[in-house]
Amino acid sequence: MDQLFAPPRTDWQRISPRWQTYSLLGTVIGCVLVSTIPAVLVGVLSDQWWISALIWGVFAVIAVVDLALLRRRWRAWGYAELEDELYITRGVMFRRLTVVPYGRMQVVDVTTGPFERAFGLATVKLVTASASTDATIPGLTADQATRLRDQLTERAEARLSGL
Amino acid sequence: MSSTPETPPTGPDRTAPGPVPPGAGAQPPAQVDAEGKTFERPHPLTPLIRGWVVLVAILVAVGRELVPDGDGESWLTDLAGSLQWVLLAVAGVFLVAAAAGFVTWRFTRFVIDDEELRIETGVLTRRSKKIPFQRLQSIDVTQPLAARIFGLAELKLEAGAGDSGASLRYLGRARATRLRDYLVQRATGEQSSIAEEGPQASAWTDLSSADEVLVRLSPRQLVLGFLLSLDFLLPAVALVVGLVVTGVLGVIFFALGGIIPLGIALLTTVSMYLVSQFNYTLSRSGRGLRISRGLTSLTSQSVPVDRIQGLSIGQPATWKALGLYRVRMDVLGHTSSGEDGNQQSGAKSSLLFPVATEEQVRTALAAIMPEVDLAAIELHPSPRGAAWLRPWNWWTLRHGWDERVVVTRRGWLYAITEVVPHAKTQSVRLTQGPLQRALGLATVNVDTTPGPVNLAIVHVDPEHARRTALSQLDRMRAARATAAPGSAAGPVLRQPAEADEPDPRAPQAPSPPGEPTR
Repeated sequence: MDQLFAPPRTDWQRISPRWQTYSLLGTVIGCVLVSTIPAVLVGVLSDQWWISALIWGVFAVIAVVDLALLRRRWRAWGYAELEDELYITRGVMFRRLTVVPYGRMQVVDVTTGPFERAFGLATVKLVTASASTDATIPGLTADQATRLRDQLTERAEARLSGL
Repeated sequence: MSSTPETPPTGPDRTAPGPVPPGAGAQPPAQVDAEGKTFERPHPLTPLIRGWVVLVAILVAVGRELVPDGDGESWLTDLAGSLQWVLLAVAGVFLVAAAAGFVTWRFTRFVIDDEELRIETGVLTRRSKKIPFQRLQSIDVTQPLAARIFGLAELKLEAGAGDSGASLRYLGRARATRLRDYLVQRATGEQSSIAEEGPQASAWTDLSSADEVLVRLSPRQLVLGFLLSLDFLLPAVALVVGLVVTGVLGVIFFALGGIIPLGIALLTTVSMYLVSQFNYTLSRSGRGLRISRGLTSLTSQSVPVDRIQGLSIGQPATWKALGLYRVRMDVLGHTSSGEDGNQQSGAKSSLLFPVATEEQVRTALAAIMPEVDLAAIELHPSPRGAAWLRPWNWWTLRHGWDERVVVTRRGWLYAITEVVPHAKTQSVRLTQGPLQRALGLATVNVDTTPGPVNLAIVHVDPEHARRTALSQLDRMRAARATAAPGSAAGPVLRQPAEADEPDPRAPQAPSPPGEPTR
């Protein structure tokens, strides 16, 4: 991974490899849903089924590209807990490093939807007083998520500082 | 209700000294609750004022309907014919609003004493809101015209994002200002009690003798600044050009339908601006800053100095020769970035100065960030590569920092300088998109609470960006450690040993030039 976005003095902790399957499934379902309605509408209304095939084809390509990039996308995610801050990185094309001091955390959110639950995954989100902070870690195993949550709240409490 | 069926329903003449606590009957004094707290009610004139406010709103709405289309003759005559019905309807609305206001008033009570700040509202769903003093972000006293005539004022409390604030409508003016002074003191962590006597505000200004006036804007300065601001000049130029072009073409008569509303809108903006900003005064009392302004409705906004999360100092190109600036601030809960702080959202405005000279800005800065000298901070430009991504203002991009604040500057048509104290920074982000990667650039965002200040060090060398971001974290840590504990929202649990710990990350993040060694 790029040195520019690496945390100082440590390595990234990766999110669960199962996140790849979960993410791929999400893309496939999304593509099927988004493509089928217009494709069927066009086919039924104009009887030009080759247009529908074209629409399906485009979305099939999108899904295949996603599959090809999947591993890189997964590897782009990472987080690191240092003494005073949490580091989170993400993104292949638009790379991003977010650093949140523990003392600035207002809320630590753990969410898991029905699909995520099927894969045993959870998402941890940190909320600060700033709306643009954007500190979310998806694809954590349930154990990882609870451990992270407890650790974060504990550290936030110890370092709480006023607004 | 009693549990035994034989007992008659509770009546006022019930003599049995039963377990019924005082105040549990049908008409309790409502002043004292079970814990012996003394509750207050808003002023009894409140429902009347609320009805009046609704009435004014209706009149304004009707008036606005009438004004723009100049040839509404038929509509006007219709209106005159059914005038009594209109008046009746208006009176009905007034009565309904007043009745609703009475019910709301009857069920609102509050307690503000040495221990707590609690407000209870709601008719069907009772709601009790307790706000810790330490969480108060700003306290506003507003006097809409009607309330002002009757010597009343609204007390608005802001305690962070979302629905955590509260508002008390209406209190006596003296009571409101006294409570405000007390709450500002408590918000900054000082112990004190509510002054029973002492300086009070009048209907004209909101100043007491204890306040130190920092800046007062003259009407002349306000008008001059506004007439030269882009908000006014751009529509005005459009108007003049429209007039000239249509005049030359000889079609001015057909264009009037577009020009008249534009002219009226322009006049409305001017008068709204002048009415809302009239007699603008910035003063300091204790550790709070107070901004009061307004011609018809007087607004007075109190913010403890250490609740200001960031500043944005703007200068339209047309103000450059005059050396004028417009200053906005980030205060938690004041999310509207209202351009001119108009009457409706006046108290929620994030505007610190509508127009100010350099000297006045410096005075305010000295009060808000006493140890910061913006002129002394060394500013670095962004590299040439930024021209590809920001062809319109890449040469104006600057950034810099000292041990207290981080500063960025950008723009020429509207030059903006943004200042964020390290102690108030929420998080730091380092980002790079595909184009930036190709050009060898990266961006550092320094996040603050929602508001007009969105500080970003855009398009700088990636290595420099990384060093800046990491050293920024060190500076934030140091600033948080030295921040006064009294300014904390909530308990400060930091152990001193932890704060004094030498930073082990220093060798990893070498100080860039201009960064003082700590």
